[in-house]
Amino acid sequence: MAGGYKAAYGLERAGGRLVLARATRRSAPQVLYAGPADSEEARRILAGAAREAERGSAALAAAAPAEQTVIRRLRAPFASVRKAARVWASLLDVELPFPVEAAVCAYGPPRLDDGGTVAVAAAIRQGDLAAFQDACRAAGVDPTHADAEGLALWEQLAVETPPARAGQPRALVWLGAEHVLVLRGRGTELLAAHMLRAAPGEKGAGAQDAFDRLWGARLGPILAAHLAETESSEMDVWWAGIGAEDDDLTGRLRRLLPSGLALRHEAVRQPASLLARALARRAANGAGINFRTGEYAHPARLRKEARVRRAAVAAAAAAALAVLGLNAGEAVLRQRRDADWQGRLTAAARAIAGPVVLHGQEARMVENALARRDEETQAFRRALDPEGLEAQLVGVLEDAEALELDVSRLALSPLALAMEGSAASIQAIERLAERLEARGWAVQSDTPGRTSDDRQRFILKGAARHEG
Amino acid sequence: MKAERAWMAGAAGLVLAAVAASLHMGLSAARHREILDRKANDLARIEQMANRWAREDAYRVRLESLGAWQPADLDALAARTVGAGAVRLSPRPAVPAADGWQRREVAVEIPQAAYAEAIRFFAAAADTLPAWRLKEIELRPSAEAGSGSLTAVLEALEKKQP
Repeated sequence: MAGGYKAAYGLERAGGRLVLARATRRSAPQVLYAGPADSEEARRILAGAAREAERGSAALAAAAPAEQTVIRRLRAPFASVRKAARVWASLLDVELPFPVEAAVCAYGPPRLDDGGTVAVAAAIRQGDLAAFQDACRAAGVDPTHADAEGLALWEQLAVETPPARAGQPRALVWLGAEHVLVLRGRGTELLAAHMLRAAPGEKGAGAQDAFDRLWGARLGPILAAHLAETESSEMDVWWAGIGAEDDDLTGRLRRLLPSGLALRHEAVRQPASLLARALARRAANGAGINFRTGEYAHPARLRKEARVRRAAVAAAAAAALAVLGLNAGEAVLRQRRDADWQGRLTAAARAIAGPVVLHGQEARMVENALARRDEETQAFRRALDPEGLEAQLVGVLEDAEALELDVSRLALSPLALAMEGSAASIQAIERLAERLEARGWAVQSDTPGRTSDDRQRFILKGAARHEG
Repeated sequence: MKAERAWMAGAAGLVLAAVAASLHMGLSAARHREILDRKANDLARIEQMANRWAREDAYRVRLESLGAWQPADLDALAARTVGAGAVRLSPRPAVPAADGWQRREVAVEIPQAAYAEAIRFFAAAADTLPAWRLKEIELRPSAEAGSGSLTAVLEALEKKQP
């Protein structure tokens, strides 16, 4: 059963009695009424619950007729919940006394178990379900949920009295007003459900004897088989239902059980309202099953589900709009950041490159402008040069004089030097080259022979290693 | 039912748009950062270059504040340092420089002089405002030590006044 309710009512109507419990998602079920079904108080309380159900603010759960509900434990030979889901209907069909296509079926949560997948299934004929709905309406009640009695009782037992051990064999005997339901399982796992179509509390010696015979014939083998199946020597038997409040009845029924069976007998708390509490809790938390689906769905539940869907759609749309808004905001921020940087970049580029600066070309245009301006300001730099070519000239002439060189030609510019002459020795020429190197010239020298007075000729060419 | 489907389709469309927008923003974040980083780096480089000609600009401002628009008379300088008639000067056409100034060049020819006198001439020319600076020179010493012929080019800045 997908989705729960904030509040839910569990209703049991049998044997002229009405039990109504209320549960919310956060609180345990509380019994609101347990008494005659035709009292004014019962009518008033039930009418209130029905109004809430009609408005969609609460669920109203009843149990589908147990005599017409089949409960089976199914096992699929796949350790895959998805694969098992495809075959549940086929497996259940084999177990049902009627075609599965003619039934409304529900499946409990699947569980992987030793290489396979197991689940508990419940089914009711479509006709029986329709008849149940008609009967409810005729009684002035239209429940939003039709749960499976056996599944509800078993689960409520596990919730209220958890087993001491995980695999502990236990049974629940539901002594209802009009039938007996025996549920047996291991720990919290339900293995099988058995129905005794007889009222345990029916008065009259004949009725009592008939019931006792039925009880004795069925219960002993059921419980013995359970012990064998669970490979146990003892088990717990829990008693619930209106009949469980009758100590004489429960005592008699216990004595009719085979004495060789090691059974520990316990009574659930508030046994008569166990079913109503179970129905209310399961409807509130959405954990139970609900045969009222598809064409049998209650209009109030459909309206509620539609409201929930619309709210989910609205929430999704609102969240999406919020995200779109955030993204739009981020886009605007990005645009502003980009515009801010671009503005500063353009302004800085214009300060150097002039008013026309192409977008994306700022650095290149600035570099071009720099190259042009470098050229235009060359004369200013030369004017500022503290030494300049004048100092170079003086230095070269001083070096030549110091080394006793005869210079026949000297050409000097900021980038190039050319010198020709003669020296007393090659060493003197080499020393001149060294001094020129020290002044920042990359020098190549040549010594093309000697003069008529036996001096060494030289030709020196220099290139400035940095711009003047 | 139709209306509900239409609303769901609309909501689904909005969700898809939100997812697409978020994906786009997420995937483009790195590119956006790259673009901003590039602009920041370009700006830092340009700002660094902004003061590239600070010295030259300061010199120009100084010249303008002193009203030093024209370089000194080379003829007079040459007469004082090398001797009258010893220097032949050939002015060349001005070439535009930066900020409304222009570059003047003068070819200098000294057929025969002591190099010390020539150097004094060049030093005196460089000591004016705007300075005449030596741009190139060629010496051909004569038999007498420390003297000979020379050709040179001097360069100075000049700004025409209206």
